[in-house]
Amino acid sequence: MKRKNILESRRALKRLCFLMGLLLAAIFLASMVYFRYKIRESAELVDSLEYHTYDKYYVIITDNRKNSFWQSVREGAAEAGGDSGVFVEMFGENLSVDYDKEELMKIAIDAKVDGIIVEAEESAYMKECIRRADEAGIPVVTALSDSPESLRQSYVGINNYNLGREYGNQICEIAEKKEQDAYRVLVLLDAEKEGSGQNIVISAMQEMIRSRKMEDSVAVETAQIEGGSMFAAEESIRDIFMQSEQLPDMIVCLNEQNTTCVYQTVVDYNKVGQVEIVGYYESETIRSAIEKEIIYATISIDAKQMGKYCVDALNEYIENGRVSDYYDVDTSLINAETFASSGEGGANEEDR
Amino acid sequence: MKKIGRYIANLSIRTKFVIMFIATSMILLFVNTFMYYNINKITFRLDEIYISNVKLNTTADVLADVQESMTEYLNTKTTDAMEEYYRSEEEFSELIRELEDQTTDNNLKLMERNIRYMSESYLELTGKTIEAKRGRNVEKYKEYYEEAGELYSYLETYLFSLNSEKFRINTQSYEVLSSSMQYLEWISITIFVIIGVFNVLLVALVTGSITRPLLELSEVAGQVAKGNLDVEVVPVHSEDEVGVVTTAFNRMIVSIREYIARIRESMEKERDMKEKELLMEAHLKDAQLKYLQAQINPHFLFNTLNAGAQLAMMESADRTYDYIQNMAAFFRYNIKKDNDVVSLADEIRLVDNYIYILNVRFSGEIHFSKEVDEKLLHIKVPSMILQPIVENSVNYGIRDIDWEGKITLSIQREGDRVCIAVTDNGAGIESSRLEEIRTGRAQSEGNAADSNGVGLNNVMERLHLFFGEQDTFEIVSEGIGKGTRVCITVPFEDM
Repeated sequence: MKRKNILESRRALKRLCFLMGLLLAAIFLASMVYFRYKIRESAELVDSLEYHTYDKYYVIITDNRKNSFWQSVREGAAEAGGDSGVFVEMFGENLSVDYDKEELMKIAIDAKVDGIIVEAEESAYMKECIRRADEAGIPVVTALSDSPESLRQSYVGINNYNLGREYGNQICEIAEKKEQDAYRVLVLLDAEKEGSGQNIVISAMQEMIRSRKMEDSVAVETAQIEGGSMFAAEESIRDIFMQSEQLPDMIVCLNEQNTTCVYQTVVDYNKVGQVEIVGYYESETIRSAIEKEIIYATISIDAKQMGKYCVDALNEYIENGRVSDYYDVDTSLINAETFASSGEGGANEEDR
Repeated sequence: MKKIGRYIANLSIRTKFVIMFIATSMILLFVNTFMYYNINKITFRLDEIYISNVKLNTTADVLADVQESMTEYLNTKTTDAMEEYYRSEEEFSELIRELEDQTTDNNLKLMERNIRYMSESYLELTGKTIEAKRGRNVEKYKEYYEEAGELYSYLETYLFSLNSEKFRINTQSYEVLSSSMQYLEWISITIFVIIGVFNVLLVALVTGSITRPLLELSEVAGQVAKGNLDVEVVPVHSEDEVGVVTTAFNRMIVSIREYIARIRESMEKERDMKEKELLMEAHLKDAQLKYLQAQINPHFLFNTLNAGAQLAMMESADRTYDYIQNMAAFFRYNIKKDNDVVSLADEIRLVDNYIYILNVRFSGEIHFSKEVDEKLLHIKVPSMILQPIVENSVNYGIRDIDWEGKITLSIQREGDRVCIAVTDNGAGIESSRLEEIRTGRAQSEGNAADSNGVGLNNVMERLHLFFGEQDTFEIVSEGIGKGTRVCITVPFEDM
């Protein structure tokens, strides 16, 4: 009996000993793995072990870096570039100082990038910047808005005439529905973008209205929105709502930021239904506003395609020394019907 | 695994303790080393983490030196400023040469690449500025200087941005490490606690393996001390000192048991011998007593008989003389033998005397014949063996029969044994009675008037004692009226 007890307790002791050993080994192993992992994690944070190198380095220069439109452009450019060994950066994104386009152009030239994609304008300064880039042997492609008289290699953008006609079409459609005698349309122009681009849009718009024989009932006005300094656009749009004795029946926006601002202001001043909005581009916000029928329609540009064309143009220029002067990017109209017909969220790829 | 266990179990206790001590120490040492290794590694990494920031700061400082010395030179045109410019320019170029120059999709590396190229442009520009200043081209160097200043500010921004981005990431890395340092503390505490418990268990296990056999041994030893020698063999678990003691103990128990058994056997033998001796004596005494009872005063009887014999001789009565001589010889036999062992010849002579006496008494009714192998006469037998058997044959065999009674004594050798047989043609014995006689249950009915008192039982027992079970005493009869044969078989001893 006694011996049996001793034997049993011994067996239990042995088992316990074995278990302890096992536990020790397990903790040991686990901690070893843990520390290896932690040290590697910390090292990875510092050294960024995984990266690819590229042959060419193109930069996109725009003032609206955070803007989803330009992010899409970058995405499209990166996709196109990835195949041909090109890395595309949204230039100035990582800097602590918010440089303007011209400064970024200078930096890009000094940093000896292989190609510049810039949202240009028709200013002399921009022209000068493009000239210097050309001098340094860096090809420049303008995107979305052009600097026609500069030494840029190519322009990738939309046909302003077609854009104007599309806007005109939308204006007429809405005006017909409303059946008002005097339908006031306010077109918000970008004060920064001097030159013919916006004028062409307005002219094409008016031509369309005339061709539909509605010039008597539809009056098109324009307002310059200061987009250059900070927060100026939002303030000037609010001013329109606060100061105007009589609000326009419809507001047409020619860029994404204005569209978002007008949409928010209309909601804030409780003018939904009273003021119709025809927007530009489609961000997440704009898309949901269309679904809620606050924005009537928006003209969408295939931003990814734009990015792709920019990279293609630069590649072609570097390869062949010449390139087509103009790349036309697809646009499409998006309204509540598009969503209804193609289901939730899948409307943005519908080309006209 | 079992083999190793076996091997360890067989080590001596001292070696076991040394091994146990070494094992626990090794575990502690190993764990400590591991912990220190980890701590060292982490602290080393902690030191490393901000090195990239330090480097960038140095780069920014040297860049400022370049700009300052250039400005100083433009202001004063001193050789000192010039030298300072070239020194810092040299240093700066060296620093930026370490930066990445490939285009990568890693933000930081891309910034490094941009800084590198911008710095190269910057140095080119400062070089041009200095050159223009030397050539006193005022308009040019002013223009270059302005451009360089602009680029300098861009570079500063870039360096600052890269530095802060790196700082952010380095801080994350630092946090990861410092949090793992805290874990390390806990892990080391846990591991040490477990090792402590493990070591205690190990010690308990090892000492248990030593004390357990001792306990078993002491338990069994206690039983032996109480006098119980029929204990189980204590199992031997190992060949260490305890194992040796246990084996010795087991062997001791076995040899004690054997020794006791041997003593017991020899004691029994001795007791048997003594018993036999005593019995022998007792039987002889019994026989002699019976004889003496029968012959109250043999000396007186002798003298009387001798006187009778002389008288018969004087009267020339030869037959009477022979008769009395025979009678005297018969009685003398019993008196003279003080020794128990006699030869067969003596015994036969006694039977002859007896038969002579009886024939005189019953006027020659008994026909006695002998078939004796002369070579066997020397064989020693206990005294008073044959006469009682012959007397038996006379009394119960041929006394009351109508036909002529015959008794035959034959002594023959059969291999290494000798057969002494007394055969009569008398009344015979029924088989049931025969059985009783054989087993010794039949009590001879009283003392027959003619008997000298020594019964068959007495004869049988004395033979038995004398020959030690090697003799056989056989009574054979084929039934009433068919005679009886008594046969004694004794071992033949060559002289």
